[in-house]
Amino acid sequence: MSEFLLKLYVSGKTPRSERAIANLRRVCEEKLQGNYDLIVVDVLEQPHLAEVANIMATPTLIRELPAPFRRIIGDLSNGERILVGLELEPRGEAAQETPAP
Amino acid sequence: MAESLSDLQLLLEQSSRDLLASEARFRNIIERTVDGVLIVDRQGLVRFVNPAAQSLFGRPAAEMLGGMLGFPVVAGETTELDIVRTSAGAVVAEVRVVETEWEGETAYLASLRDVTEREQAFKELARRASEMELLHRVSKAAMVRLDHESMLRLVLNEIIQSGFACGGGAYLCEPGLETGTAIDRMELRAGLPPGYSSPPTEASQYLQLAASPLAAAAVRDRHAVAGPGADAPASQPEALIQEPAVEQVAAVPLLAGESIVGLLSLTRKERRPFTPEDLRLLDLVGTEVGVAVHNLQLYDGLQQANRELRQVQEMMFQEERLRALGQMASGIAHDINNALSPILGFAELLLHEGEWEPKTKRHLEMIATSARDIAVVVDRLREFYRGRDKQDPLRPVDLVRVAADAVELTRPRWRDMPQEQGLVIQVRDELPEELPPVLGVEAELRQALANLLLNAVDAMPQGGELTVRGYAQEPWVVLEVTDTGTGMTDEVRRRCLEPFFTSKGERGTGMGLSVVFGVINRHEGEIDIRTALGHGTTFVLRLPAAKNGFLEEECQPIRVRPARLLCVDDEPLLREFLQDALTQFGHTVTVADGGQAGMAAFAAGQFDAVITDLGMPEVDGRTVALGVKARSPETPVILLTGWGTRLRVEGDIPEGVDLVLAKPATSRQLQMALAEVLTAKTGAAK
Repeated sequence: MSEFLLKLYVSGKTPRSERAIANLRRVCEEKLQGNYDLIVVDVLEQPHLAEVANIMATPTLIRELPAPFRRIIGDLSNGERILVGLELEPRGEAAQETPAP
Repeated sequence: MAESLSDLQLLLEQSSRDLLASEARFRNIIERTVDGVLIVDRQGLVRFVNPAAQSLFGRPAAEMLGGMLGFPVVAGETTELDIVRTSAGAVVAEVRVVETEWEGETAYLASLRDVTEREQAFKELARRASEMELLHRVSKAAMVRLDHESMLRLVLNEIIQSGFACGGGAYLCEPGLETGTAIDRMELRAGLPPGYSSPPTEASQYLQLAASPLAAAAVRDRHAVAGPGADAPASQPEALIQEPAVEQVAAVPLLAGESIVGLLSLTRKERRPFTPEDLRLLDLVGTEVGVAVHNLQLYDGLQQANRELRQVQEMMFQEERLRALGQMASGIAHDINNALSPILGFAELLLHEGEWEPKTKRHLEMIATSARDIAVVVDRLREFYRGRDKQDPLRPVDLVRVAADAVELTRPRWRDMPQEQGLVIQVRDELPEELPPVLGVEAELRQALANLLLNAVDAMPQGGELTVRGYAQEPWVVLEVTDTGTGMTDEVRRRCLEPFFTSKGERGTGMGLSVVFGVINRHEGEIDIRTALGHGTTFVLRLPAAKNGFLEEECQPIRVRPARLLCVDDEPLLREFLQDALTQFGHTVTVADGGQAGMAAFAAGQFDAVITDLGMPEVDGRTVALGVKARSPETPVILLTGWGTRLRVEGDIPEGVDLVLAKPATSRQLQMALAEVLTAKTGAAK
């Protein structure tokens, strides 16, 4: 199982949604080396899911795993900001930097 | 000290008041500003929300405060958010974020501006742009000069590539449908899946409008219509080809001006309905493609007309050439025959009357023989141009037998002679058991076919294969002679039917194929030559099949009511023949032995018709005819002449003469001629 479980909430199949999805995938591939699962939720198609998660605006990205939840909103094109906002620092990468004795 | 304390107290109070006032002012500004303002802490929790933000989100402050919005990330100055509202109506907000402090902690102030309208305008602009793009692509595709299928496929491809639809089909009405005619079916000319297969299946080839309400509505209203696809496959089987993958379908008539030339049907796989804007766009597409289809049809028609014109021109040119040549040949033949008569006559006279040395006698014989040979050649020449003679005894001819006879007749040339040279010519008989009869002169047809076979043999100097084929092809009976020989150049193909034209050098007379032409022409048939240099030649002879009615008519006796006839001829034998032959048919015959006597007899009696010889001493046939007409214009005159054939063909019928009959005339021909003139007279009287 992947280390990170991410949920992206978007509104409909608009260019903005498409852009958000593409940006996020790019960032995740770059920064998390595929060690993640991404679930995209269209709040127009599944409004009850948006209600449960209390989504106020999209795009909203939630880090569900590892706990606790972290949530960011807005522009998903900048990898650094996403990492900071979601506190995403893959353990694998940290381990690589400081090899175990 | 106390003073300074109270001063401080005062200062503090003043400051507090100022602070409160400033805070109130600040709050007032925030509260009244049209932009939504949110303060969010580092966890993304909402700590402050102004009224504008509340109305933007469609939620009261109580619901929002403490709620989780999320850590706001903005790259650059602004970003856009879709506000998720429980009530209807999408709202788009432009967001700016600045770092601030809230109750002693780092927080973020997000100001949100409602840009829904701007967004909508952008969307509308983008939609228009893509519409223009689609139209441009369609009209570019429609302008390509291709056949209908390729053009329509190109158009469909462009529509699909633009993302407007996933699949589609293009139907066309039958061309040449008159305006106002009810259209009940159309033919699928191009189709792309989903919904359409290409090439179309037998079941999907035709669209019956009665079976497709959608197509019928589009044609009736001359406007694009849309409907659910998979929901109603049973009611529109042709339009949708029972594919569950199709979710949506739209149909638009292809219009050229006022008339419908076809129908375009488009399918979508996903649940993306065709909007009114989509349908308006489709109307434009329908007009664009309709005009293109119409233009292509006109273009096709024009090309076809052009081709036909060129063919007719070529044919006319060819015929004119042959006619001119024929006339010339006929003239020359006549003159040669005239000049030949004394040569032959005197040569024979000398031979019979004189006592000659053997050498001189031999020379005289050679003169006579050569003169007779020339007469034969000249005769052949006349054959070429001789027109169809009404009195030619036309009989039902079995072309299978004629062809077999011709093959047999030419056997020495295609088997024995090549064999001597070690060549093999294989003859393939592909004649059917029987063919419908044609009306014609059997000997002539046999001669024509034999000439073709000989020509084919000559075309295969290295041997080869000779095929004789026959088949019926309404209204023709067709014979084909194919060789595997040298073939012809274009020039030779065009000229090979001309008299004297030969490609065989010294060996050829240039008459063989021109005789074929003459014979087929007289039989009202057609000759086609299919050839390519090095690939052999096929001569196709088409002869009109005899009509059943005509056959019966041929066998029936000719009915002419008994008439009073005057026959004028200076030949006693012929006078006798005329009297006998015509009396046998029940006519009353009076004879006169010359022009003078004939005119006198006509003045003295009552006659229904006059038959007169042309060449008579003193008063000739022309004078008799004029005399008869002067006295009684209604009375028909038949001219008997040894020149009959030529006179008829050239239309050089003397004044006062109703019909020319060639000598020697049979009694049946006489009766037919009488039938013609007497019926014509009755007809004219009516």
